[in-house]
Amino acid sequence: MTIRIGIPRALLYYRYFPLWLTFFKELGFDVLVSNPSHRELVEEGFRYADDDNCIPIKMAFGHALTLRDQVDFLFVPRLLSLERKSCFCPRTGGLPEMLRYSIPNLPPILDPYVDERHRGSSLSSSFLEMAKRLGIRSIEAKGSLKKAINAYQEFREKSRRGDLNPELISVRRKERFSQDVLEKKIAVVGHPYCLYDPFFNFNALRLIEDSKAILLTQEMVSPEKIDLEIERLGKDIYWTFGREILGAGLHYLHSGQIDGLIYLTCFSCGVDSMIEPLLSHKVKEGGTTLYLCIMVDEHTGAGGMTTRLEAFLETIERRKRFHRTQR
Amino acid sequence: MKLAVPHIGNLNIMLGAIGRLVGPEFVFPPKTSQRTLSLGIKYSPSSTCLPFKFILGNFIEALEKGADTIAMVSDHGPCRVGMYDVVMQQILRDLGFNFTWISMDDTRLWSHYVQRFNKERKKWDVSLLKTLRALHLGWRKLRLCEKVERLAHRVRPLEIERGETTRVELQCLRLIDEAENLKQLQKACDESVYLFDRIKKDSKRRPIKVLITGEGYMVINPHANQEIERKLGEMGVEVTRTVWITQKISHALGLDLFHPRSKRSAIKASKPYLRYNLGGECNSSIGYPILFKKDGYEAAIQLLPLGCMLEAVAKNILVKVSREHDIPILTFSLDENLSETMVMTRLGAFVDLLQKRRERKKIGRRES
Amino acid sequence: MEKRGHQVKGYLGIDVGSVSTDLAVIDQEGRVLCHQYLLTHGQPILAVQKGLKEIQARLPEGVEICGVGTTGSARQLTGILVGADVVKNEITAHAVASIHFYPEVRTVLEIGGQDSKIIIIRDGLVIDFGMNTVCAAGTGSFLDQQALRLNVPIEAFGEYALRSESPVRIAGRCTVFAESDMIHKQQMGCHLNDIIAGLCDALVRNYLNNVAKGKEIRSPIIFQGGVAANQGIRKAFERELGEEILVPQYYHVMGAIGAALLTKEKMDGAETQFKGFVVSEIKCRTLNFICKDCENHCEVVEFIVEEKPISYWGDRCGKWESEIKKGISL
Repeated sequence: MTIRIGIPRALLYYRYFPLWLTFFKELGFDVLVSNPSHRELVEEGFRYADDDNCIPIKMAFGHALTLRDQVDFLFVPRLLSLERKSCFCPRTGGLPEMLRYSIPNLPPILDPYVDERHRGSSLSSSFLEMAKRLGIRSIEAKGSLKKAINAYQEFREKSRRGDLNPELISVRRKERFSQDVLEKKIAVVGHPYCLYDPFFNFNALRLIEDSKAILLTQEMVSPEKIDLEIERLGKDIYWTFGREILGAGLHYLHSGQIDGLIYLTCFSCGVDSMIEPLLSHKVKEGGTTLYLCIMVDEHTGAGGMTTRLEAFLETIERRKRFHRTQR
Repeated sequence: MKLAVPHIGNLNIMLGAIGRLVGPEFVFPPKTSQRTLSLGIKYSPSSTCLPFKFILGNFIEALEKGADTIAMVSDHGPCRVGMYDVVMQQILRDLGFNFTWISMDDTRLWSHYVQRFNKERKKWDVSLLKTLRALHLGWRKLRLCEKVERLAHRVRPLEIERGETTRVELQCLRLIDEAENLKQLQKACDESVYLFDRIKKDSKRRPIKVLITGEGYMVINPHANQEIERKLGEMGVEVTRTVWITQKISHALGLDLFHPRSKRSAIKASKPYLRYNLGGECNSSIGYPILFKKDGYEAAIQLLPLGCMLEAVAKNILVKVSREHDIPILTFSLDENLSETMVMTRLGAFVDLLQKRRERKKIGRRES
Repeated sequence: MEKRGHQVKGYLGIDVGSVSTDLAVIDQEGRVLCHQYLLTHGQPILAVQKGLKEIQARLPEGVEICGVGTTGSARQLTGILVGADVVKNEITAHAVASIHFYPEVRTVLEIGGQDSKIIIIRDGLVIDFGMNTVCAAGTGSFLDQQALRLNVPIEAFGEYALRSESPVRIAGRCTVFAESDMIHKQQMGCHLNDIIAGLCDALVRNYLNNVAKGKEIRSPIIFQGGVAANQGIRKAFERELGEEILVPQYYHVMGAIGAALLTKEKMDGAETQFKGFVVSEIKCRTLNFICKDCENHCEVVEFIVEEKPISYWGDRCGKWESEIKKGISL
């Protein structure tokens, strides 16, 4: 029987899924990804997760729970740093233990420890070690990892061109382009798990698209441009996503090609609590771009979210119309 | 240069001593008060952690007092303290203050410290000997402050008249602050021991011992943790804490290799529960209660600022440690909304729980 | 006070919370002789005075008060007012009372007006406890607010809830958010019974997710506090936990009984500090001021009786507290 590996559809999955899925599938494992977040799953997670955790972590608890009885192993990678200069939020680093101690009867957890800042814990060495644990020879694992990395890079390249993977969001761009009613460009930034989990953000991205706007995300900004913005800032941001969010946000601001900027964040996110003030400050300095920060917490209801987003989109449209008549 | 630093424990006593002897001139913010916190809350982004709010308040009050330079530590994550510098500078400039900001990077290399030290020394044009002497005095003062704190931890649960220990502690810290040289410091030391000795004590009491662990700023600063050490002491509990400034300095300099209760050994003790070091005080918060159990500390209190990324992980894992090592652990996620009544009720119930536990254990021992 | 033929020793417990003030008198065997429940209305001194008057009227013939204990958020103030022998936090008081009535108890669920707690007991010993954090999720005020909104008296909530056949699911943890969801359900035409039952479910869910997070709930489970009067909540707990929930006879004055039990335990023949029921007649008030003698700037509370300060607290250094050492003689 093939070994079945469960991957919670949570947190870094929304960025690294091509890498993970390809790696395990290439090795011939049966991979089961938990269903997209839904109410019951999330509430079940809240029951087990401590209150001091942020919502995305609590949701990860829910996803792990649904996989509990269906898989032989749970894959919860411990990604501390993938780029030498930056790291991820420490909560993700402690997630395997948090899950293990809070949820009874979990299957064994595969938790490759990846910290590119230190020797001996690089992505390849940790993944090969994990493969060894599953009884895979390292030559085989090496080949799969190579393919996995390629798949990931291809995914990144595609998203950079604006072609977001349907796994993340179903964009109905083509039909829209033909209609020639596109007026506004809206950039959305935030941690990938805030952006691409429609349950978390009450389908905010879809709502923006439906308002006939061009949706831009941080994935569409090249690393070089991000580096440039961060360099101009004069402070090296040490969080991988914080850096990307701020760099992309600033790039869109400075490019002058967007009408609105939205920051999606969750309550008690330590990274966003520092990055958001920096970004919103720059928006104020610039003075022309409309900006909206949406913080989702456990009390946020669909109604409140929609109202705020619609008001924001409305304002942009009115502004555009006003400018047109002025001209 | 009029240099301001945030209030962290008794750091101001050490820096003040160095500043008076060889410079720079320090402008310490007024003692952290309700006003400090109110200012911090008013001007901080609402979702930042409590230390940010306190420290920002300190800086505002120091700038009001005439400081023109701010020194603040910084590091490379993953804790958000490394980002304080940019965000705070931005807020303070928006408020219209003019100042120079010095970020002190968290580098763990000896040579770097020495180089930096030499550069600064030459800038101020003071002899090496004089500088070393000033540093020595500052260090000794800090050590003595912590000795006084430890004395207070031990004596407070035994005091007969409530508040006497706290009064003596304040008096001793003042004596230490006022000492101008090693000789006077020695005198202050003798005087402190004498003063503590003179406190009327009920030596028949056998206080419960509780360890205070958690995020460093919250653990070190009485203003941030609602004076939990004093409150517990007055309930008849002997406390100690996991974070001390001298220990932080020696850890940063790599001088704590052989200390049995160093952060290093606490991280080691946490290994079975959290395999990798995540940074900050996360791992040591987990490891310390295990270490201190050997010293007779039967329970622990974890303090974290609400929203702290690292300590939230520790909190999850401490549940397991508590179960396996039979150490009751009480956690406070502190923010500006946590009322004193709530803290007191919980502390009271926790102490009652520990007392009953001890009685039960005694009975159990007698029976067997 | 008139001297009666004192044969029975009684112990008085007073629990002054932010919403209600409860008093109870027990005898040497721990039996409840009389009890009283009234609303605090934000004026603890007045409430205690009124409560004392009423309990005095109910006190059976021949009972002498041999000790007084106070608990609740205003325990310190009340302690000084009445001359308490024991001043204890309400968690311990509740635990002691539960163990007294149910020696086997392993879990105590307590929901009060402004705060709620869970106490985990094993072998008659408190081993863990939890309390609600700052927000009102999982406390009685959640229901009070919704009752106002629905224009249904809170006392009738249980009745309505029990009549429900399929409770509505109401989301949101805080009152504000639950309210908007509730209005939404009302507009959808849901039945009032089902909405009220849904509110009870929501409260229980919030309680279990917030206050009782990570606690091992084992039976026997005791449910007490003012909200325990609500049968709907009890049923909701039973649904959620799948265990029988016991509501003690004196569910609403358990804190006061606990304080009385603790006092009885401590007194053991010692002389009581109780100032007598006359304190219900005295004129008194509190005054807050900031002491500026040192840079601590403590907020000191001064307790004034007949325009004379008789006690202080709230100072860190103990200077004010020791100003007037031993209470007053009336």
